[in-house]
Parts: sequence; C-alpha cells; structure tokens
Amino acid sequence: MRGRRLLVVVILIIAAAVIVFFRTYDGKPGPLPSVDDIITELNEYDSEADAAVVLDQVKLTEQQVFIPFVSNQGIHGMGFLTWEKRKWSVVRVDMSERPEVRVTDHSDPAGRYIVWNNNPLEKLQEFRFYLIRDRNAGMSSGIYYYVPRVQMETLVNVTEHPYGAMPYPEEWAGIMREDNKLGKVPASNIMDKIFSHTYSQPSSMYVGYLPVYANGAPGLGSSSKSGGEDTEYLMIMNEKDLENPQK
Amino acid sequence: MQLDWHYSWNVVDAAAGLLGWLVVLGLVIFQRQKQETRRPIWKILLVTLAGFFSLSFKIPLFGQIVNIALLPLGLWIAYLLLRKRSWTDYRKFAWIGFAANYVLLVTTLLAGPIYGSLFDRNDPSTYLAHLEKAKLVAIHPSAGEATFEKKLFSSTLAEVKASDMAGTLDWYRESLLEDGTQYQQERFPYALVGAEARWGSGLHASAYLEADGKGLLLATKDRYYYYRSEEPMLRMEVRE
Repeated sequence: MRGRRLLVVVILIIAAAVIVFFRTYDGKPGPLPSVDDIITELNEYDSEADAAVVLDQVKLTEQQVFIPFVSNQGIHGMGFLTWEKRKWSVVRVDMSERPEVRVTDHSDPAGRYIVWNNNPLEKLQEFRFYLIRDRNAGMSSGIYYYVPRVQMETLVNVTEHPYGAMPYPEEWAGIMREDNKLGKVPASNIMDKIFSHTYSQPSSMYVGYLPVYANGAPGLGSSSKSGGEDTEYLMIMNEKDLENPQK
Repeated sequence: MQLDWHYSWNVVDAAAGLLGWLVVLGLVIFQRQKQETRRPIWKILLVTLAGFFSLSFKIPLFGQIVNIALLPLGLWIAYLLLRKRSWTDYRKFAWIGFAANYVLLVTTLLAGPIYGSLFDRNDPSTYLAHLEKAKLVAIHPSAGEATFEKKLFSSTLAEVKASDMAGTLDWYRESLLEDGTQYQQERFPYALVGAEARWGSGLHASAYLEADGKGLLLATKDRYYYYRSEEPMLRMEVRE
C-alpha cells in the first residue's frame, strides 16, 4: 500500500516537472518571422504602432532582435523581439523617436545597447553619447574621499546611420564594472551602520546624449517615454553639462 | 544564472569559519556519544542549527567588527516545540548551537591578526597584484596621451609613498570654479581597470591615476588611499 502511494507521488512530481519544463523552456531560437508577421505582431502589441515598413532586423543577441520601423504616419518607431518559450514575441514598442538603452544582460555592462531610429525630418546630424559620473569630494566619518569625474564620449553620425544599435564601448563597460564591484557592499543592518563606518560611493554613473542638428534646424519638442525592466533612459544633455578643458 | 565572476573571496575568513563549524560538529558528535538515548543525527543537527539563531549585536573589537550573541532565540523556540516530548535529549545540542556563536567569535578574532600578517591593506600592491588584464582608460577629455606599461608601472608602484588627502575639497574646487587652476580639468583623468587584488585577500579597489602620471588614488569599500611617486607611473606623451 505504502509503496503504491509513493509511486503515485513520484509520478505526479515527474509530470509536474515535465510540464513546468515545457512551459518555461525557451529552446533554440528559430528563424525570425516574416516581415508581414512582424508588422502584424507589432501592431497587435501596441495599437499606436501602426507599422508599415520594417527598416531592418538587427540581432542584438541570439534571443533578442531590434526592429526599426516606420508607421503609416511616418513616425520612426522601435520594436523589440525576444525568443521566449519557443517563439519570437514582441516585448516592447517605442514611438517616441528618441534613443534609449536596451539591456540584454543585467549582470554585465557590455550587454547594454544604445538604440535609435531617427526621423529624417528632424535634420539631425549627429548623436553625442556620454557616460557621466559627477565629481565628488569631502570627508565622511573621518575619512577623506575623492571621486574623479567620468566624462566619456562616443559619436554616431546620424546622417550615415539613421537607425542602429551600438553596444556600450568596451572602455565604458570597463569603468562601469569597476564601479559595480565597489558597490557590492555586504548586507548590513542598523546596528552595523552605527558601529562600522562603511563608506559608500556617493555618486553613480549615467548615460546621456546631446543631439546635434543641422544649421538652422529647430530642436525637438518634448515627448515622453514609457518604461520596461529591460529599458534604461538617456538623459538629454546640454553643452553646459559637459566639461570642456581648454588647453 | 548570475554568477559573481568578479567576487574575490577572503581565504582567511573562509578558513576560520570552516574551522569553527568543524569544532562545533566535533562537540555535537562528542555529546551524542556521551548520551544514552541517541536521537537521529539529522534531528540533532537541526536542533543545533536552531540553537545557533540568536539575537546578537555587532561591536568593533581589536579592529574588527564581531558578532556578540545575546539572547538564545532559536533555543527558546526549540524548547517551546519540544518541551512536552524529547527536550531533555536535545537540550544540550541546542546549547551547543548557541555556543557556536562564541566558537565563531574566537576563530574570527584569531583570523584578524593572521589576515593582517598575510595582507597589508595600506600597501597599494595588495590591491594591484595582478596586472595581466589591466587596461588604462582615459575617463575625461582633459586626459593627455599616456600608455600603460606593466613593467614601468610595477617598478614605480613599489616606490610610491602614502600621501595626504586632506585637500580633496580643494581639488574639487579647482576643477569646478572658473578661476580655479584646474578649471574643467580632471585631477585623475585615467582609470586602471581590470587589475586584481592578491588572491585570497577578498579586497578590491578602483584605481585612478593623476594627470601628471605620478599620483595613484585607490577607492575601496571602506576608504580611499592616495599615493605619490617620484617618477611617472605611465609613459606620458609630451604635450605641445
């Protein structure tokens, strides 16, 4: 009697494991859907997408694809496909016509991509992307500290590349990894904070951009973006946010 | 799967913890042999583990932060659950579990001086021991052309002297104020990324180099270190 009951339990556990496995198993990425199917799926995901022309299919990773497209109204949108649970599905559509950061790997800064799909009506010449960390200094708990400023630049010629995906430069990833390593302070409670003077990094890094327009072209009006866990925003910067050392 | 690929672990602490738990395990086995009614070992270990949980607080002692166990919470819970049944057989194991807090306290206190004799926190080469993967990155537009040469860096690193950091706010102001001598220039425009600390130290520092190539700033979790060298630590290109 007891043996039989045990057998039933074991079979149930195995069955449950198989079901869970097949419901969450991603499998090997298959071929991308046809352009027409991609358009249908983009429009199903977001009714505002109204996609008409797919400009390209840019592979970010084996499982993630960036789809720059143009809508019937001429808006230049960005769509993202992910291979999940054995099929390609749309996970994000953005119609703001502003660049953003796509995170393909949360554990490594090198898994971040700046993506853009620029509308030629904007007469944009160039994107200047910046990795910034503010300078900081002072004394905390009797310990002097100084955090050097980080200001690293990468330029993208928008006339030549009206849309694209650019991974963070290796140098950005290198300095970001260094910062992350320091940020991993062991979990602490209130008592710890009273007795130990753990000094925590007071400033953090961010990525921003400065759009450069052709002579006489007007700047953009404002537009808003809605988020997602795999999306990070780019700050719009001004010339005066940047340091410009004179030699 | 998020593997902590850059986690450098502290070998001395790990060994001290292992030693402590081996002592506790020895005490448990010794006590079990002594008792007449021998309960199953997994239940005994469970009660011991329960006894380990306690209300504790941390104080700095001999330059370390140590955990002092105060109230045997786990032991009380075990007592409430077992008092009507087999508490007499398990009582001693719960107390061994509580005592484990103090066994670990002793091994931690022993580990401190051993760690100190193996690793010098004030020596920059502790943090920059492995330079095979190290790369120099210009982090600011004011950085001039400079190249990192492992040989040159290592030999100058051995000669650096700890320097005063009391002027950090002045450094900050010089870069920020329009009439500052370093206006919009970064004092430390280079970062050395990918260097690794001595194996087993569990330490990590971000390293920055000064504009003249002669200063080294290390940022660690607990504090900053600043060193100056007589000679440039990088191969500096001469500016026009």
